[in-house]
Amino acid sequence: MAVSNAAHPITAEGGHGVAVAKGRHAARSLLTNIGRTISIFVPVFFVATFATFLLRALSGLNPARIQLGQNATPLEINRIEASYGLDRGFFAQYWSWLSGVLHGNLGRSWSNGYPVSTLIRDGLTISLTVATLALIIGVTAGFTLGTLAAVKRTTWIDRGITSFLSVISVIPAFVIGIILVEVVAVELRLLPSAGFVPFSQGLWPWLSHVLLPALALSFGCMSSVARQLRSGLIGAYRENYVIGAIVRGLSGRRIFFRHVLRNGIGPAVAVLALEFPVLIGGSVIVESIFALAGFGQFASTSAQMGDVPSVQGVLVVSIVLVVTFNLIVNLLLGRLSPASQRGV
Amino acid sequence: MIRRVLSRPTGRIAIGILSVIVLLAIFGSVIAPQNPLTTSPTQLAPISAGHWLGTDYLGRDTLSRLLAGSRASVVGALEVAVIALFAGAIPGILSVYLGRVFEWVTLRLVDTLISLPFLLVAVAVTALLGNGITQALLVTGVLLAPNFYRVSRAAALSVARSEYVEAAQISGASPAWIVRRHVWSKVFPPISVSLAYTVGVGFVVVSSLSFLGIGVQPPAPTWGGMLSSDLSYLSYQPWAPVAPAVLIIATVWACNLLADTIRDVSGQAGRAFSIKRPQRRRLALSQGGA
Amino acid sequence: MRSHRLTIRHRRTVVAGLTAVGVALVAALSACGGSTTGTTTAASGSGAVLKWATTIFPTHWDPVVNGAGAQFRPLALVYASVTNINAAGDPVPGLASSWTYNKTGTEVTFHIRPGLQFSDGTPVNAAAIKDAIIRGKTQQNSALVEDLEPVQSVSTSGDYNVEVYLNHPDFQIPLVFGERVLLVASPKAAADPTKLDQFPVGAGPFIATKIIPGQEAILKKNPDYWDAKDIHIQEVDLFDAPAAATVVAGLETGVYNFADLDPSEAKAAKAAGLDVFVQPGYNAENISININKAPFKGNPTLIEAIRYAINRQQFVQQLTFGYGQATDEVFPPGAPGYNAADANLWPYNPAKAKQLLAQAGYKPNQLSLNLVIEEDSEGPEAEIVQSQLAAIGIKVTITIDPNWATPFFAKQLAFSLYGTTGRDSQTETLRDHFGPNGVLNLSSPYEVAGFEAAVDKAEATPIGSPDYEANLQAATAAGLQSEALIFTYSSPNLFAKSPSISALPGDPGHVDFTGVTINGQ
Repeated sequence: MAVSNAAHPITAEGGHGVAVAKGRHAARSLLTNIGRTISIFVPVFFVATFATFLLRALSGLNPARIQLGQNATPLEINRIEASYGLDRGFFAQYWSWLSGVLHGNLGRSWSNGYPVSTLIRDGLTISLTVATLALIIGVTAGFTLGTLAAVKRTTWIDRGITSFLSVISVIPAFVIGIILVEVVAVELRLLPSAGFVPFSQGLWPWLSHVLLPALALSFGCMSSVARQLRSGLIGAYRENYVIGAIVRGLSGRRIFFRHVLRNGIGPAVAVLALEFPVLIGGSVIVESIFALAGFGQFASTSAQMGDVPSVQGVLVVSIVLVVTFNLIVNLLLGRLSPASQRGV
Repeated sequence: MIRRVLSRPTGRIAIGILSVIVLLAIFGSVIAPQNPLTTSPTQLAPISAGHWLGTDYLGRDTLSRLLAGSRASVVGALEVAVIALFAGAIPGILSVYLGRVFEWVTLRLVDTLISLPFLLVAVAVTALLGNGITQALLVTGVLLAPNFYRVSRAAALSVARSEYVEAAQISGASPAWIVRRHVWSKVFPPISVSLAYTVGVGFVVVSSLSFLGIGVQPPAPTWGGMLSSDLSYLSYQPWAPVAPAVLIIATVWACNLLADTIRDVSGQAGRAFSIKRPQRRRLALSQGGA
Repeated sequence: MRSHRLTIRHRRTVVAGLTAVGVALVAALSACGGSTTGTTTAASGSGAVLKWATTIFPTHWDPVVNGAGAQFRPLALVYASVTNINAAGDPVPGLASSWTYNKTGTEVTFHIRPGLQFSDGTPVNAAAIKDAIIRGKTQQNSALVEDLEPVQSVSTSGDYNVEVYLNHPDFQIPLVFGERVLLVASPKAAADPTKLDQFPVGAGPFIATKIIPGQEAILKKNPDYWDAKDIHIQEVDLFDAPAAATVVAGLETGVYNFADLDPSEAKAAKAAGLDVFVQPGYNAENISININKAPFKGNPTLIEAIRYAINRQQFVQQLTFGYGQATDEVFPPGAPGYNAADANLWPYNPAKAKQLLAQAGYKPNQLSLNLVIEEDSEGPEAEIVQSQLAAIGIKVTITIDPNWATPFFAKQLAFSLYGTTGRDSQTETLRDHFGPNGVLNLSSPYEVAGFEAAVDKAEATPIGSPDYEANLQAATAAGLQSEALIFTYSSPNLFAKSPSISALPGDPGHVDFTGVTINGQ
């Protein structure tokens, strides 16, 4: 008979020896966790980077087209391609590109010859700032709303929150962005509608510029986290040991923090891992609306110019970001909710 | 099942809204009061008897453009969903029957697709591959395939291991009969939930791409494209984004509502396939355990 | 079975830790962002800073590669030119303090101010000017070939005299040697043109200190500029402008204090309390046709059909928001060189256009044209062309190609849109549009018969003389017959500025910061 972790609630721990054994055990499970996560994401990294590299062959683009136009003679095309190392065989190119990537060298842009990593760096700062802020807003608000809805389940508070969540979850990010620009910036004039100001120029200038884009991005994350948390907590509330705890006379607050939250938080944390790629992807839209010279804008412009190395660089960086974030989330999940770690 | 869906108020609302949208897509250009492409000297005009939603920056009737643009968005979303269905469901079902290597490979491919930041990849790959609407839909469909993969794989797994299928085979039932009687009823509900949900997502993606100008061929109107140009003239027509935005939101909301309703009427078995793994285990255990 | 111990304290620590990490990450990233862009503000007390969002952020910092097009304006911040112009459009001293023509107008000597130097220490002398002229004529990727066509040879006499020999009498040279054509780069830096193209070295009012390609340039005041005493701005931060709809918001919130403004945003700018500066100038937009490519090759009737299909009023009304006017010539009405007698040679007549289309051998909706434009902001103009040609039975497909400049200037496109912000010299404008190597002549090397003689004659007439205007207008009339260009409308350049910036001098076509103060400093 399968036993869930929930059937064995937290008990008071014993003496020092138990703590040491527990420490060793915890370290070992942490390593197992990391190992398992890596074994999943390493193939993902390689498959994704290979697909990214395949794009050049699929697109049929070459740097000569950007620099010389369509009437370039074959001699000129060959010369330019050779200078970019494009005259070698497919796998030779792949190998040198991949080893470059693993060393942090993302190649040179076809349109202006600058190293792609330099071109990405500034934009990445802006995009990550907005995405991180969006994550914080989404997690905080989602956590609050989900908890509130679960604790007050089936009351009008719960219904209100659930309706609100279902509405904001269907509004696309760019519509939210436009609404925010329209209402907050143009009509109410509370916050600026465009641009980016670095943190070095002051907290409020920086915050006033990143708040609206981060807010626009955060709604999807907020509703996912809130819903998952709500259903996870409600599920946990139905467990037998909760009834037992109520019967034993524990306070509602203690029940929540000691039993329900710990066991119900798993899906909400797991969904974070799925939301992060959406945040990175949404940067394309948000940066367009709020005129941020970020990562997504750079990807969009380079792609439309046919600058393949820049696009490849952007895709590689975003894959690394997502994989890293997934790693962190998996580790966190392992600590919070070991049940989810059994089985791949 | 349609009857069961319609028996619920949420189902009726969802199907109602979606029917209106589909009708707009089919008959939009016909019922449009004016030619959506004809320019006129009265640009950025306010709401009037002649122009129920005013005119745009080239004097074209906004209402007509909205109606004519519905086809592009709806057809695009449906195409995306169908591509995702085939790209996901076929490998999903096959992964159960074609051995461990195929299973491992497809699982990792799906993991990869999930990790890709969706819109970024869609924009980048579409633009590199020629910036056409076909490429955009293809790429989006492939990126949305993992959902169908998981759902169909889970369904196929449960059917493959179930005892009643074995029993039916032993009693001499033909494969066609087994499929119709057992497999179909297991597989259809979760796939239709995913389909409804994916149409909604596809709609958002198609609108986002046309907002960014990808796959848009001027002067043909699209809802996303109209929103994008509305941004440039907000000081003249601050209320202009409302109409396309409301249409997009209503459609996506109706799709999600439909998906939820199908899931509810398919009963517990349908529910079990569409919730996440940790929750599923807890649910199963809380039902079967102590 | 394990019993994990994750107390309240533990979990709260984890959450708090995550939040702290998140906040620290955000702060660190933004601080990083701050240091790499390295912008300073007026608030940091470093003096008057101009923050200019421009739609023509330079893609080439080598003035020879950039050419005489509108991008010369940001380049004129870091380079100085041999002459400048004043509000009346007359040439005034720049790097040259004066110039002398010989009697026949075939030779002009420029006297360069002594004691100036480029930002890399190289002296500004006659040899440097000569180098710039030769480079403009001979460098392989030069966009100035047609503009410098009248120059036959250059020699120097002494350190500061540049003798320019012309291949025919031409009194326009002082106007030609202005900011559009002769921004002078340091000859030492110009020895490596590829490097110069990425980082400018000149003797202009500002010195470039940092350039993020395609995005931002930080320029500091040059104390050695010949007119440094009249430059009150200490620093210029040049930004690539964002989408037109967001520029006003950027100005309102202080991200920029000076920006190129689209006419559709003028209303919002004024409502936000900003000044809208209408720059005097000689802009003219056109539809460019390549008669060397199908379907235009050998089919002048087709081009004529298109001429009659164009309704200029629609362009004016829907694109210029009250700031523009129609024009069917290379100059706008009222500008020097505008030929009133030859105006309206092809009045709007869709019926006649349809007839001509049939005569050209096409049934209605049989012909398809591909109109290639550079970016989305030209969309409305392209859509107007599309709808006007659709009305006579020509189907136009619009393609947005961010790489548009390459095929356009390589004369590979068949059908496109372009425009001019004019030139300081009217004959230069004519040559650039109608000359066999003109940058605005998509049909190169096509040159309409009679043009060369007419423009030579105009150039040979001294500018103040009584028949100058008549000769100039005759050259305009000659060029008007070119099949390669259909002119549509003229819309002036608009700039939105914060009220803290004082008024700019109204030099036609130029953005001049001489005498401009910020906050009275």
